[in-house]
Amino acid sequence: MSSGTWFWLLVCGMVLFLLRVLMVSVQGAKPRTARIRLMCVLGSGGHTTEMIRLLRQVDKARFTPRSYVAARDDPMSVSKIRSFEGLEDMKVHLVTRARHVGQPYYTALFTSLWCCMESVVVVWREKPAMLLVNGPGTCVPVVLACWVFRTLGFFRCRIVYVESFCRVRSLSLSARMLMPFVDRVMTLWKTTVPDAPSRASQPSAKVQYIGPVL
Amino acid sequence: MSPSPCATPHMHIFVSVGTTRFDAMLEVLQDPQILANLKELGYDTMTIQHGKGDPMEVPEGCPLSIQQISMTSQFEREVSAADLVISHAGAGTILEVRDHSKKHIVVCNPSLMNNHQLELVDALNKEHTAIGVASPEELRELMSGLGNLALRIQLMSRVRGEGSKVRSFGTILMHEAGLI
Repeated sequence: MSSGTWFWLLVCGMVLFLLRVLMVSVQGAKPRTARIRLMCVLGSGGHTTEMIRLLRQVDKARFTPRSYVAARDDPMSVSKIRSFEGLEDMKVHLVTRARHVGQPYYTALFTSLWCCMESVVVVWREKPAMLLVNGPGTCVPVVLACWVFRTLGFFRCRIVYVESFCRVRSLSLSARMLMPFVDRVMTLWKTTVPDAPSRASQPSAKVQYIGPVL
Repeated sequence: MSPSPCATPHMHIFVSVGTTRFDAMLEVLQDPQILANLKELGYDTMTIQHGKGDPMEVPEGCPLSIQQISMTSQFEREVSAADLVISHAGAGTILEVRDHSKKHIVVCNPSLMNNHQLELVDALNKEHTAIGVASPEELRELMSGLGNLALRIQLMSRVRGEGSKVRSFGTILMHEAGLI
């Protein structure tokens, strides 16, 4: 075959891939079954407390089976979620923290890579139809792993980020960072939704004020 | 000023610093004038959860009977037993006190940098669901004037209950999942 044919094959392949990316990120992410495999990421410093307050309102019969991801050095979150779930069927996966408080940055590179690999494995094993996060550091690789898998078409997953009750006037750094990879950012305060003083900082259509649900 | 006629006898205060320490807040509360003001408003018992910090130094002749604990596994029970909660600005604590519709004075810790506590207490002040103060010094200011304190506490109770939950998160998530 001539080099021209190869070129056009390559172009077609890339166009198909881009179409796939577009399709998944526009509407294909919505799960269609009546029971939703739910995955939630826990985290110290109030994240688990807020997550449980949200989950209390969720219909457990529809959102099942449920799995949780927590940092390995955060036994408090695990015990909180176990007492919330009681005897119900659920799984807790432990992952290494990307960087411990006070850990030097050059070693953080390795722990971060390890943390990403663990997150990829956990997400692959669970294949959640919905991923619910509220901002702990541990959620970043989990969201990215989910986004990559669903973009490649391995499974459908809707990714929802609920902003913390503490964030009143602006979105947190993790929310802004993960914005391209999530389907929805929900805020508990009206004022958290950024105003649009200029076109450049137009709030994303993904950001939604849901009211004081906590 | 005499105690208000509708004050119920044996009112209880729960003070909580959270899981770490907030000594500056407790230092304000040990002021004899402030304790006298609280007594005047009808409070006669106080439980102080002092966390990893030192217990509060109770002044001689303190008009309130004070019990001190470092941590509690019965946080919810402590909140529900109280008529007034004075605490640090932790989100978990604020939400718990809201659940029980208790009067709440929320104190920011200025030694914690970059944590949006000020924004949060500002929002609470605007909602009138709690009295938020930016620092222990501001707490002292609030609690030193008896008339002011009584009025602020009364105003807080009057608007409580407004702006309650509209939609449950469960419904919102079902929507998001395409189940509704």
